[in-house]
Amino acid sequence: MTERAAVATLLHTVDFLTLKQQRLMTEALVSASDEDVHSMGVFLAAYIQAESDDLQRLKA
Amino acid sequence: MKYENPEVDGGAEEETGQETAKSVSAIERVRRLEKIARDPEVYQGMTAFLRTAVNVGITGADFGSGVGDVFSWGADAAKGVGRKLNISLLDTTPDVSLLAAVITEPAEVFTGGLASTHAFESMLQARADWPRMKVAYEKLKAIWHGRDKVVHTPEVAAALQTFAK
Repeated sequence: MTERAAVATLLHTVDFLTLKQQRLMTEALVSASDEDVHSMGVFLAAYIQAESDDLQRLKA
Repeated sequence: MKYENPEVDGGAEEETGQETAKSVSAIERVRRLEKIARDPEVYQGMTAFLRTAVNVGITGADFGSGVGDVFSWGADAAKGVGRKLNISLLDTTPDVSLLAAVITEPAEVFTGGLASTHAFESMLQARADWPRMKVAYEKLKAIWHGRDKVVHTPEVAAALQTFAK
């Protein structure tokens, strides 16, 4: 999966964006640089992983 | 100096995992409402609830003879047409067979139209819809209170893997 496609997937997974925000950010992704895409992907992946870890901790 | 946004930062809530009404921002509320509106289980439960309400109305109307019977027969006719033309909206008791729906209609003749024959199929449908409504209610509560963390789909897992260190 390309980083750009991965970021688009993760944008629709995080729980802090409204539909409109997701749409606008996905549109902005088209013209973003590779570096910016990578940075955003790292950030989103870290957030989602932290969220999963929190959930595991709360469930335990 | 650390900037704290009372609308966004969890504060004490971060420690306990609990949230208070104050810690939920307006954007978060909108997001949760959108998520509720998009959730298939909630949609199914809401449909089941509306269907139950319609069936209760028809059952109540069917208690009266004459005009009341029109609702019951009309529902059965719509059920048949809906099944023939594959229009699910016309069938108020999709989990009940057409045979089960019409088999009670002769009771109208013996009771002078006073029997609420639609009650039989309404009860069968309500029994099928009750678990759907329960699931939808629990899901709606979980989403509204922020306890609805999703299990990652293979797509999301692959996307996460792309940025794994």
